[in-house]
Amino acid sequence: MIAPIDMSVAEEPPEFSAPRETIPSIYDEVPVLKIERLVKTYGMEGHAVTALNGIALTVRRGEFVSIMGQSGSGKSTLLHVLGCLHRATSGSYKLDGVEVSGLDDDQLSMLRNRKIGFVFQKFNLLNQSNIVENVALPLVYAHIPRHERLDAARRVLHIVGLGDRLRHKPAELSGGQSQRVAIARALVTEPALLLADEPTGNLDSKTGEEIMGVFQALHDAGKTIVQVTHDREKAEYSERIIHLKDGLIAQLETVQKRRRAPKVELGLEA
Amino acid sequence: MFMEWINAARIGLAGLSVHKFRAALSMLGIIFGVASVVAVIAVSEGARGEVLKQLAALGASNIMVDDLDWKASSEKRDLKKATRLHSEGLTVDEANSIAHSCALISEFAPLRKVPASVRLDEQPINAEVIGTTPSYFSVMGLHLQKGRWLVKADDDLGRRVCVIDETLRQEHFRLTTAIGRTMVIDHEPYEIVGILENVETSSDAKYTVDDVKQLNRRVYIPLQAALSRTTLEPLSDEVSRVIFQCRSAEDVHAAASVLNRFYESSHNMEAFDQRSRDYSVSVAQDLIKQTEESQRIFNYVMACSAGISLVVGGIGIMNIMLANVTERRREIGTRRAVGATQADILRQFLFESLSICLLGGLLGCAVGVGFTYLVESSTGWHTKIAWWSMFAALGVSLLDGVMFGTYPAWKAGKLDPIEALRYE
Repeated sequence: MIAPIDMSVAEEPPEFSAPRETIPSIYDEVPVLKIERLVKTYGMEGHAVTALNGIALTVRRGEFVSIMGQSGSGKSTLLHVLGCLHRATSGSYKLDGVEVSGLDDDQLSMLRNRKIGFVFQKFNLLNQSNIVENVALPLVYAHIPRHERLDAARRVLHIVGLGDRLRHKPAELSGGQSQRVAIARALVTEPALLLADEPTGNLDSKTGEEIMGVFQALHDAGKTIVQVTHDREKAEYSERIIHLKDGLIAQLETVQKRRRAPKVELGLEA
Repeated sequence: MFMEWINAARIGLAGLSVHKFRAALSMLGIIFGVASVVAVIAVSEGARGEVLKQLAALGASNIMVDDLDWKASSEKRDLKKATRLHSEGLTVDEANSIAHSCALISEFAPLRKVPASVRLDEQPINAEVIGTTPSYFSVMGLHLQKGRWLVKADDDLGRRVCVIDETLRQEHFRLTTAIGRTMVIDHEPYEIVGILENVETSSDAKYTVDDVKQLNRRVYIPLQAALSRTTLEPLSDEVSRVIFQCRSAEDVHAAASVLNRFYESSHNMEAFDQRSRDYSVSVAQDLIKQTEESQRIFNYVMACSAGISLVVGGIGIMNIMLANVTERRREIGTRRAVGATQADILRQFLFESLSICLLGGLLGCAVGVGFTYLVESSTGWHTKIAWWSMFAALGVSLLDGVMFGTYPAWKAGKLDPIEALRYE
């Protein structure tokens, strides 16, 4: 079953102003992600290894997509390119309407800061800081004044259900709680895209399911989520699965029987 | 821009607090470097202060002409000895005539050191006997504590009176009045008529310039008394030193060259080589300059060794910072992923090394001050903590932080975020 690859019109409005919660008509929407003929090669001329060999992919606002593949299939490379951590060798990548290819390092940093929220397998929290400071970290680099960013961090921590542990340090939290902190950190800048790299890889299955519940709740609230996983079961929590093989998209699958995690209440209204 | 630096400072300091022990260890080099700079300069400044104080006691506008002991050194010693024996040395008449003919000189005081034994109540006293004129008082800027100084009438009438200084009074007249008492100088009784305040010098022999070694513990007697004390001495007009005072301190060198020329001709120096010179002209100012010159050389040497220790300290900091960067790659990767630019990371690590250096520098200042007091209290040396040395040491340690912190910080900034994130 082949899902439509790209249904958006060629001409896109330069500014997207519609509220994110409402899904607008498919014809005037700027896709969160739109890549075309994306090629990524590593190494020197002559000995180049091709990791991505001309990929086209569009993720629309509010989608929950999983990227799957064997190791060596290019899924990590794709994640890094999508996350603006690496530049593609050639091809076009538009993130929330912004053409990424051709930006310099500082502009990529700014893009990561404003448009992307990362969730890592190993949480990557800073052990010396408490969880509020951890969550506020992206706002440091957005040059938000200290009290404002700590306020924002507290608000997001309430949303992910950790409002009662604000003074804790990462070492005092369980794996599931740590990942919630990481998710809060990813959300604090209100990014266009949430990028998760094996978000349940370091968690037991029950906690993993709980984190999937958080993602589904965020998705229900209108967030756009892309996760990379090798775990079929975790991929089935999302709407679509992109199967990568040898640097190419082998299959685009729409999940027929979506798994539903036990309902997680997010403090979104609070 | 300002905001970025505030954030970098905050993050850098937070990073420092993670490895407190390690940061402290890496600081040690800077601490000891700065402490040694501060302490050594304090000791040397103290020494210099002492020397300058002593030299100031000689008077800034004074020129000293000294009688030289004859040193037998050449093969023609007999001839020279004969010449010297016929030299009259320094005489009061000579000094008088030049003081009156040279407009630059306002006053002069001849001094004759009398190698005499001093007794008080049949007990020998350790004191130096100096025969001099009333002008000595104003030339040397002395102060009376009690009684009177020598007057012209003492000379004219051949009175046997003497003035002692405070040191001697304290040693021998603690419980009784000194004035009116009699001292026996080579079997002749001298009445004590006055007590001088001590000349401010160091009691510490370590710093003492030769010329001021014994400004205190002196007994002053009228010059005539000193000259006529015994008829056994030949060339009885000869004095051991003449101090000429210039009208102003600026004229000292001009006056000194006049004096040199005068003595050269009057002692017939053209006929003999320099080794048979029987006098020397020295200027207190020059002695001060010499001291300052040697002090400056000492300071250069110290600055060099301190600089080396600070460089070594800086290398220690660089070492630790490189280890830090390697160890915290994950953190760097995370920061990069959430939007830190290369410059943000560079600033963060630069601030870390800067704060290590600044903190080390401040601690070093404290240690240096403590060490200085320790030295002062245990050895009795005079010390003077120079504020400029602290600022200089702090400045150099900050420079250290920049010099040796930039490379690790640059390396941290240049890390590939993906490589950094992958680090276990």
